[in-house]
Amino acid sequence: MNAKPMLSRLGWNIALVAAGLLLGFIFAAQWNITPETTQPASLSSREDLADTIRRLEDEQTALKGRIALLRSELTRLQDESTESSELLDELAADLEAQRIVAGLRSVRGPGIRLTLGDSAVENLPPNADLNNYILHDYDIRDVVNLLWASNAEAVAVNEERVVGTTAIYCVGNTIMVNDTRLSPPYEIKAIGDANKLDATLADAASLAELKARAKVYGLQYRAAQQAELTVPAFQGSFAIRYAGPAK
Amino acid sequence: MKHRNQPALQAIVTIVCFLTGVVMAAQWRTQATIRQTPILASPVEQAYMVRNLVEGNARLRSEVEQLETQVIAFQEDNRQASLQALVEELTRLKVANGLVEVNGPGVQITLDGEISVYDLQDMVNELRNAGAEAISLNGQRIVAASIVAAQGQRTVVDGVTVTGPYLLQAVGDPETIEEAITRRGGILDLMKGTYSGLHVQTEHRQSLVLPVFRRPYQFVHAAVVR
Repeated sequence: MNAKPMLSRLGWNIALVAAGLLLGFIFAAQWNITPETTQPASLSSREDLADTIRRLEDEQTALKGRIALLRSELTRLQDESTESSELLDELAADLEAQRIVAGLRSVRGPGIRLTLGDSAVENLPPNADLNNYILHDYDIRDVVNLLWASNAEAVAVNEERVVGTTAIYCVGNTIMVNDTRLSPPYEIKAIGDANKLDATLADAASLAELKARAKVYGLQYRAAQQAELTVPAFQGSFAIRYAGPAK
Repeated sequence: MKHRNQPALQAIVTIVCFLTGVVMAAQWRTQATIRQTPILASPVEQAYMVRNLVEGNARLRSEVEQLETQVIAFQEDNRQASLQALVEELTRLKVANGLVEVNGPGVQITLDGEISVYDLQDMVNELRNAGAEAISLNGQRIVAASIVAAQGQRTVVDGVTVTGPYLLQAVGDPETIEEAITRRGGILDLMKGTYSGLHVQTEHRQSLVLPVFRRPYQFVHAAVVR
């Protein structure tokens, strides 16, 4: 077979792949789209702040994407590096071990999946304290701390990997993890000894306040053992500007 | 034979690609939904969110720069530079993982009074939020997997009993950290409101030395996804 028909067939296949991808994308993007109610233009400073937040969030997403790309490129370059010496090999092995510990590698294994959310109760009694009906940043922190205390090996909240610099906090009613806005329901995944994680969570003394609120006010709280789940890699920064090795 | 199967194969490829496209669009739409979620926060809270995002993005940009330097060193096949880049990367990950003793400027907070482990956990969270790069509690390095727990009346940090007064040390930008924890309505303000007898002292330090995290990291159940 000469090269020309092969080439044209390759071109044809590429065209098909591209067309399929595009069609699928357009199809799903159009699916069930209701005309967005366009919000009236407002010139208040409140609107400006919200715009700034969205712009910064777009920038955050773009930077995270760039970091992911550079990290995979770097891993590929290091793997392909023809240069091999005992020193380099040892360094590469150390580096990989540190990356796993730091949360820069996606990991899978048995564990537990928790689903938490605000109360589904629709008609609140008069004078109800709204705080009882919503899930707070500290609820998620308590769960995450409990999971580490049960020897979890990797933890993520709504696909945000929990690492050494991760803060879980709220701004208004929005819960943030790794400076990223989360939307409910909150899904917390932990890899580790599934039985141990489950037993700790089931213990009446664990998360007593949260469980009581789930019972009385209808907060969503579900925990289920998983034979296998995947916890994604951390997409953020480990850049250090102030801390250096002591010696 | 090849020719007979060609259309079938192409049909399959097209279907697979179509489905991939559907999945891609679904992910894109989820992301778009989160973006469109109205930001329900007061102007002050929104300003706080903006500040956090600005600082967070600056950290991300600095990460991009460091990674680009490493990639360039590799691409240029500069042995010395790539070796140096690897060593630097190793060092900063060891700092993040608490596996080297670190030195740097920061803030030291002393909490003298009856406080709970939850308060200590919240303090650690607040320091992370303020961009602390390394934290220790009563001379014990705190990492992601650190366990600060109550055992009866005792406070146990990664298996070691600690007693008050509690000393938190955080390496990072002293101004940012101090402002974050001492602002009105901030964590120290709230804690003083809760515990009337609590004595709090915050001080800048030019040079803090934080110890190594000693509890071994274990990955028994988790396997790396390749």
